[in-house]
Amino acid sequence: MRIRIDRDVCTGHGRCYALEPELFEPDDEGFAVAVVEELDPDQVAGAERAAGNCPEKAISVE
Amino acid sequence: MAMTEDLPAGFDPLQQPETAFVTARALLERCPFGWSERDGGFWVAAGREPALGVLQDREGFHVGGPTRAVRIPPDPVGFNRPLMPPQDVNPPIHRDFRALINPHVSPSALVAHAEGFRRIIAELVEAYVARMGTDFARDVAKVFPARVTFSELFGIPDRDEAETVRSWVERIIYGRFTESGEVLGALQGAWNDWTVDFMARRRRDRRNNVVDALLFGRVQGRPPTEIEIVGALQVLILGGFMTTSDASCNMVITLVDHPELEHRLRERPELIDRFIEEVLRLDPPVGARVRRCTHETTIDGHVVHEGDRVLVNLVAANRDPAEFDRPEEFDLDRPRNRHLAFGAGIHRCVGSNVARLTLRILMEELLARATDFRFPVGRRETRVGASGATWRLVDSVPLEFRPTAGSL
Repeated sequence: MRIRIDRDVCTGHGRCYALEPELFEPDDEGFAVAVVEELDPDQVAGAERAAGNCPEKAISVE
Repeated sequence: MAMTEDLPAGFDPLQQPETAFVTARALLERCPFGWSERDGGFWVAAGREPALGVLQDREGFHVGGPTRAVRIPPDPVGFNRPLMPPQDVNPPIHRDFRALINPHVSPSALVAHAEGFRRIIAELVEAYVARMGTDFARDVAKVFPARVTFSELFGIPDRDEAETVRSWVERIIYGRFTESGEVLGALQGAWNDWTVDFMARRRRDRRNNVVDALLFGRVQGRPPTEIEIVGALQVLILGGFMTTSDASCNMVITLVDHPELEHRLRERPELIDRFIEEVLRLDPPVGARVRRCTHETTIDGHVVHEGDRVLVNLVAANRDPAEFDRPEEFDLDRPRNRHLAFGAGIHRCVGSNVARLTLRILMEELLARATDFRFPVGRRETRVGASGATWRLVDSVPLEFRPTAGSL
């Protein structure tokens, strides 16, 4: 499974990289970037937690 | 989908501080999106979905026209504020201002300021606990955001200068409905003069911080105008003061109302971040945002016309039962907390990272020095309503506490 961030919807709240710093990181302006290409099975729950806490609903795990 | 209807005549969505939560519940139950006849008429988006939809639609809903931001109710006559970019401007120039500011308030940029933030906050908390301060709002919460902004982000170490500007801003915000337009206009004038003078000083003395980014940056292929920079600097000041102050007060009020939380936060300090998010959800310092519709659209079955104003009620959106279980309860263990305290869409609070970092530091420093938080019998915080549904400002917090063993 993969993380998909809609860069047009992300406005840099930063919840994802605060909650799951191993999966997400901020760019220079604070917008989210996924640091993992293909999720290990034990990373899926964390990715979904980040998606569920994104105020903009900009993250999906698919 | 919930049925929506117009708000009953006489129902006031521009709630005062005491009724904000009752109003939010009534709006969510009766009309998550509906029309109010107050103040010349406007839509109220209370449900989380319509609220998010309006805030995320950057083309369909604007923050105002070329010269005035849209407000409900409008500013008093005689009180003219400059347009404050990026808050009060629309795409495409909005993006250019954010691109200048964002890199200076991003999580990575703030790493360099964390120690400075902590020094400022620890000094205030230490003095407050040592002298057994009687008003957490006046002694701590209203003071540190100005010092943090001025000293760390703007590079103005002079505390008197920070205090002077802070007092103007406080009177402008707290006095929005009690002072005359003339008095507000005079305060705004003094603040404008200070800002222009500050800019002139900074043009001769560069620091490579957010002030320089605005002074020497470019928007739409040109330098920002003088008045754009005045507005942009003022909204950075305005945006951080009362908001962070209110959130700080709301944190200690929550500790008083839920005494079991203190122990949990001491045992597991990593829960402080979640604690902050839940405090922000239940009592967002900025309770509402206003937009103007740019072209006809349909929301929840209602036709919204070009030019219509929409009041997005963030207090209500953060208590929407469709999104949050037991929405009116404080729950530190909420698995999902997609609150809109910092807004949403392109105008998302530019200082949210500064806010979260300083609130966490404040909590850590307070817990290190004080314990057993309570109010005197029969008393609690006092609040002041201003700008319709936007502010329920915490004016005083008669907090009582015991110094921790380590702080004596």
